[in-house]
Amino acid sequence: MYILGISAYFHDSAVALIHKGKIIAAAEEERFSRLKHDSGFPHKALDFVMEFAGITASDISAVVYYEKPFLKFDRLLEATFSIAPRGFSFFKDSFPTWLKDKLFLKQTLKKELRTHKFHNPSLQFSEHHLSHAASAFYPSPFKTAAILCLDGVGEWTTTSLWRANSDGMELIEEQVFPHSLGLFYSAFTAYCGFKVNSDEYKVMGLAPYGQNHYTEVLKKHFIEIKDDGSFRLNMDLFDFMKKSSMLNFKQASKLLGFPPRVNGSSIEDCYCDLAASVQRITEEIVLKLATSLREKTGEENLCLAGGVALNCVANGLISDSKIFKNIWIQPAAGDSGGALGAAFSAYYLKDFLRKKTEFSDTQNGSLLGPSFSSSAIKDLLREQGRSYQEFESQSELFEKVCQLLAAGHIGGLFQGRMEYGPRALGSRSIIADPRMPDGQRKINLSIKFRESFRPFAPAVLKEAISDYFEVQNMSPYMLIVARLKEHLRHNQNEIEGARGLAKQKILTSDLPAIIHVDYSARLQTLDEEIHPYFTKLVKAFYDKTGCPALVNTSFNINGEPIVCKPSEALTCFDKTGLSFLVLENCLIIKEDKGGFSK
Amino acid sequence: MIARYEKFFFFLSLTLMILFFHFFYMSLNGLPYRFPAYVPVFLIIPFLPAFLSNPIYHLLKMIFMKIGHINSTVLYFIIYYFILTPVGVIRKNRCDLNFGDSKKQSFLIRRGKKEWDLERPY
Ligand SMILES: [Fe+2]
Repeated sequence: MYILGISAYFHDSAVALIHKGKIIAAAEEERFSRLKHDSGFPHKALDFVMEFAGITASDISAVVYYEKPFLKFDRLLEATFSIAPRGFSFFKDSFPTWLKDKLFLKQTLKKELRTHKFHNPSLQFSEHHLSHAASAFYPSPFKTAAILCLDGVGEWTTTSLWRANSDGMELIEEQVFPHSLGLFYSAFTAYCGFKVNSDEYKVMGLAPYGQNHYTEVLKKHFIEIKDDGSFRLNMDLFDFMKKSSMLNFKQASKLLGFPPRVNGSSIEDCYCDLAASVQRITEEIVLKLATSLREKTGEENLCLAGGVALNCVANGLISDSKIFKNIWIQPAAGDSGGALGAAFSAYYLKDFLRKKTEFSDTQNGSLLGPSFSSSAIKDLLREQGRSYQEFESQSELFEKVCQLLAAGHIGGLFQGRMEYGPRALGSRSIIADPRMPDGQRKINLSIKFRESFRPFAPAVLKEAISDYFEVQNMSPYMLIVARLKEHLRHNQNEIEGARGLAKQKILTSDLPAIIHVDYSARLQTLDEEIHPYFTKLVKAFYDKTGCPALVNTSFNINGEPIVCKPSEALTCFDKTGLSFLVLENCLIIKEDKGGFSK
Repeated sequence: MIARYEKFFFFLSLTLMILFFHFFYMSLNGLPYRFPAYVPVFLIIPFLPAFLSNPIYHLLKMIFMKIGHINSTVLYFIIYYFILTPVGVIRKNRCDLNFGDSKKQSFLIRRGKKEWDLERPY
């Protein structure tokens, strides 16, 4: 019984395929189409999952879309009514697309599916937050759990609190549009000069450079927060209902005392402070909601999903607070994960309820995308006339790679199945030695071509984690931030005294490439059962150098999707300052870095 | 001929449109909740006047063409200010836009929903 989940037409289109409740394959369309956050129908991702499973359209018992289009249309209309007669220009620009995209979505989906030989598919519609919640609970190892979903907006719901057990899921409470934490965060992402629905993580990365001077102003004028974590936005200041811009910049700049930042201009201290304040408010809401959810459900386990669950700093605070004993976060927490949740909700919750019977992590390390055989890779390398070395044994390959890393080289790692979700977890990663003193700057400027203030994430062996970090929960999917142990921190007083991006120049620790200026790190804790290949590689590095961690950042250039195919990895390798590239069991080294002769 | 009764047609069509809409929404109040199976129909109803007013639209078009020119902006202008705005005024909206004057302890809405119907797009 195969069920296909689809998310599309908003941002991050994706497809997921499950069989008898087990995930077979899942992937985002952007990786195939090479358009970042591609929102079109996921044709290529669909082809991939079908081919991977070796099935045809007739084997699929249901196709499930991740939300209810009519409810969304209803919300769009209602929002228009509520602010009329303002917002005419927004209405004029958006109305034709709403009609087409939402009201005729069923027909559109059927038409697109026909091109994949689905003749009369059983088309179903989950709900946006139901999809998020199902994607967080069903692959988790828990028998019973509380679920918290926070995002921009789906149909009406923006925040939802759930209780789940093996018999099903219950929506306990929710908050509805326009009061949304995701939209609040996005609005200030825009104010800080970054891209909405894409660069929110930059605000999170910027926050540790600032001080939360604007928290009071924000709470007084922009957002009202209750004790249970529920909140309300001041819609006189937020413009997303009447314009395509998020915030009334004119009024906001009057209240904040500085204008919005122009994209590409230097980042002044005030934007760092604003980012810190917005992050602080987000954390306050998330923590309060988690506390009240714990009280309401009495559960010890928490599942998180929705775009805000990608805010790993807030996740780290929930983890540190010990409100819940265990936390599991869907790695594809944004709307791409909706595809997986939609498929799960059809399998478990439709008609007759099926019981959840699997109580281990069934996300398969989130390695759910395509993989490429060594022979296909060798063919490609020969075709391109590249010199490479092929390794018979994994340990020999690891030995060579560790040698390169220890000598300060930065490399690409391409092996196994591609990750589902925005994080690279060792299949499509750029790796480096975290001890390099100028590692962060080097990777940022010569490889990623991006703003240099953002820290990199470390992949750390599970066994060694407590020697370095203060952790409560493991973070196999790089979604929880933890703080470096006190005795390993350098220059605490200097950092506290510094302002804004000047903090960057001060050495934080012996692992500067991965430790942020607030001594935090976005951990991937390596567990051999979840990510066997990557864990073995880091173990080999540990044996060689005594350092149980590697820098792990996504294999892409700033602004492009993560690489999917070997050819894309090679192009990225050529265009950047990477010294070496692992393609399955083949190793390529740039000639000036001691590459192999042909 | 038309030119002679231009003003008359203009006001007649506007009145008709506004009446249409008031009528539909007055009678609709609560209906979608009593007959959930017909929600798609109810959702389309707001657009009926736009379809029905097609003759009126053409009439207006003729009039506007006389005055100057007409484009889609004018059509949306009419839909927005003569249809959506009155509806926005007479209907209780689900978007709660109050800020700062709330005596509420919580903004969360209780649901307790356990059953899910995946067949319907609404
Ligand atoms: Fe979402």
